[in-house]
Amino acid sequence: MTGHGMTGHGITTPGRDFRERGAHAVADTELQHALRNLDRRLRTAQESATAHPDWKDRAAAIRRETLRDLDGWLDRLEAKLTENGVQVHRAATPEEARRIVLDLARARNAKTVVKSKSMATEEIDLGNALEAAGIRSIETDLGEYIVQLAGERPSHMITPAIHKTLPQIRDVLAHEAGKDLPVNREALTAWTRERLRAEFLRADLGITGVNFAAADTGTLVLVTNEGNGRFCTTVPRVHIAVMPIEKVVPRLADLSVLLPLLTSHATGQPLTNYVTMLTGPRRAGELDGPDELHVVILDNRRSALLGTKYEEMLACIRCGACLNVCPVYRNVSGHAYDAVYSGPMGKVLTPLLSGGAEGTDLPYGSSLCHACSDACPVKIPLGDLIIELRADYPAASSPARRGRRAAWNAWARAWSTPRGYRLTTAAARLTRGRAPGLGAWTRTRVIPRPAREPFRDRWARERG
Amino acid sequence: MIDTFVARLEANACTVVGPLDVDGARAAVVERASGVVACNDDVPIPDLVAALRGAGTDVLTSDNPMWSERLASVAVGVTGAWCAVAEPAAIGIMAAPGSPRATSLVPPTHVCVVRVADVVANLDDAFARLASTPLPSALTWVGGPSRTGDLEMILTLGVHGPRAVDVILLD
Amino acid sequence: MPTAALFVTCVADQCFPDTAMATVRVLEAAGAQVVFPAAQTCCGQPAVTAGEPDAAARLARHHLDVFAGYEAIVAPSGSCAAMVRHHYAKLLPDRRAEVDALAARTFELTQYLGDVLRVDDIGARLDGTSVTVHDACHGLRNLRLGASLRALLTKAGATIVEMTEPDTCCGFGGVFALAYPEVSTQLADTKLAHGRETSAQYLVSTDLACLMHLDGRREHEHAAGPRPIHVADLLASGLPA
Repeated sequence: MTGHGMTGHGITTPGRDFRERGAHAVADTELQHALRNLDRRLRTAQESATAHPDWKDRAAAIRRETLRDLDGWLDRLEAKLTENGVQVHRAATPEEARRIVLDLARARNAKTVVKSKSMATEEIDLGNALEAAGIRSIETDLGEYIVQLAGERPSHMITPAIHKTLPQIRDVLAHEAGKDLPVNREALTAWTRERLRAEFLRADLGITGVNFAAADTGTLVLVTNEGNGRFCTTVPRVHIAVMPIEKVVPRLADLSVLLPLLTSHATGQPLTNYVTMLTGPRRAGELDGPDELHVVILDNRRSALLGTKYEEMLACIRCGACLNVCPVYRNVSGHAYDAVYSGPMGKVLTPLLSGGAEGTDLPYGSSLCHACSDACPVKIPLGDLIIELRADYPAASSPARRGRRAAWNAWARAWSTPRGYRLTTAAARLTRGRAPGLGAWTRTRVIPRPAREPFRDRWARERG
Repeated sequence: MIDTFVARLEANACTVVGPLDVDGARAAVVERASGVVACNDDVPIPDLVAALRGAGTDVLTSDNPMWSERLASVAVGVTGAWCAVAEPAAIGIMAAPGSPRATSLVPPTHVCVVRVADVVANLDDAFARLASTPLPSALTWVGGPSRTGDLEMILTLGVHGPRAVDVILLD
Repeated sequence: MPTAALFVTCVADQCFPDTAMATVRVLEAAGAQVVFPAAQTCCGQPAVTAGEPDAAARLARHHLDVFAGYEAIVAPSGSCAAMVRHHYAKLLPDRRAEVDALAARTFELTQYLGDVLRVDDIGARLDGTSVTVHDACHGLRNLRLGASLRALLTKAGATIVEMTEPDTCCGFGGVFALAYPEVSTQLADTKLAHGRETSAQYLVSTDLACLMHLDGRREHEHAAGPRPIHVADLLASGLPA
């Protein structure tokens, strides 16, 4: 069951806004069952912080050092990449990034592309663009492959098919296989291994993301558990890596803390099964590796955040810990956000990267519990950023905001004097606290009524 | 430290033998040979290919002009390692002309010979070593058999990379 | 004798005056003298969470004027104390020094008892009472509460049975409870279910907002399980009359 007509944008929780989609998700028993699997990642951030109390401070410092001179680090990275024989392309917008990749693919006559999991390629909707250009693009991360076959977008940046139960996964794979497959992990994995191996070995072009790019050595670092990232960067003649600007780190040595911090928060692993460090394309005499290595550096409104109160969002290392601890995400899953990025970090990035065109209701769909701020390995104050976004969206000039703002300001004027407070609360007592808009509460919860005698009057009476 | 390294590798579902001396290690590799074996130049065991062929094994080396085409039929890929970290367990393998990347990726079994002297305690030590080493086109860190948690978060082995990783420690 | 200025919070003042009075009794039993600055109104938290910093700043300025000069300001609410400690600096950048001074002297009730008065035994007896704890978010994450609350209950003779995920949000979240009622209610149900699993008599917390949300749901469903109760009410019930 998918909610959208567009290929690969399907979501399993239809609705016109975050609230409706969330309500749908809460009522979806299979989804709720699948989501309980995420509970095992609830404490990864806490455990990592307890085992390595100095890592977060070190990592937070490295990320902020990077942001203070992001342009400089990107220039250094570009210079080093070029020196290593990598072709560097800068893309200001998703359209530009897609064009760069499509031009390269067409110029190299690529018929089959294998893709390793990359949120940046989701952001620029690259898979659909390739298909539209008649180029077969196959997701090779198992979770991404499953959602691609289902015509859906990933629901979690680390575990893209977290919203699916094993029987649902079996159904997707069996449909593709054209035959019955057992509801059994080993069998489904074995079938996928064989199917995707054929694609790996015939692919002309490998497209990946980048977990980190070290400016001092021009090294691209990819982390995976499955080995698909390795295949995408070893077999095809051409490798294109798409990276958003904030993936640059000053030094390769910074990874001695950033890598285990990322993996411990993302999956609870001290390190992923594979870490691939790529410095340039294949060298003379080598039998494998790409002949050509391209890096597409994507901006997409990010540099506009530098120097603003939202700059810290660019410190994100895409670990997904904030999703794992979010009480909202844990109950609605990623599709409810109907955005590339979900969870707390998605609540912040979506309105910002879309220039306010998308997801402006997302920041309101938070209980402001700050579990995300606590979990973030690089100390991004996510809860505070979500509150800041509420002040900025809807925009001050919009009709939606103007009426609300006037009402809140009137309330504040009344309540900033004891007299105003007493008068308005006395009026509320008269109506026994009934007010429009409270139906959303009273439908499922009993509401407390104002007390006959507020505390301040009782104090005055008993202690005055 | 070696005990930690072995324990962590085994926890990652690797099998580990050793430390063995050169002759013991050579015999251990020959014992693990089955079907076609691909052998990289970086394996720190002299006369290994000869020993394998002497035991009747079909060995694919990187100087074979049909290397790429034949790799898909290889059952066991044998490599050495530049360096290994004990905790978290990770074996670093460098690409080079005689040591293709795919040897430790495509065959279902990866046999990796690691010198005890090349094992360092942690990532900081590994990065320190790396700072004074020319970087290869690809440095791949391997923790064990390929795996996924994508199926309801239960770990399943053998996705795209090798299903089995056998580590032979060399004294 | 230390003096505690009661920051009653608008929710307690208007809807739960008994809890506010219990807070006074608990503070007095702990050895503090309680004063009540009558001009106080609201800390402005609803406006902050609605994305209305100007409205919030207006209330913050009033709050700052009312409570300036008191040696300690104590609230029966982690989220209200956290508003002052964590958000006021951003709201009133032109009164930074005053805000910092106020923030440093503003406490949630159990925080004040544990960190300032250094008291975990106020003479309350709760022997034979079993409780489970909901660690309210702002209290836990902004103020790092938790230990003091448990120490007070244990010293009073109560038995604490920890629930699964005591620190997971109850789902209130202010405006969220009205704007996202389905998710908000599911979170309450999960919390109440975790509470029921402990078979404790009471579900204790430091935040009235959480408690009114949980109790409201429990009543609506006529559910069994531990009775949600504020720590001040529970402790006061164990004080000699």
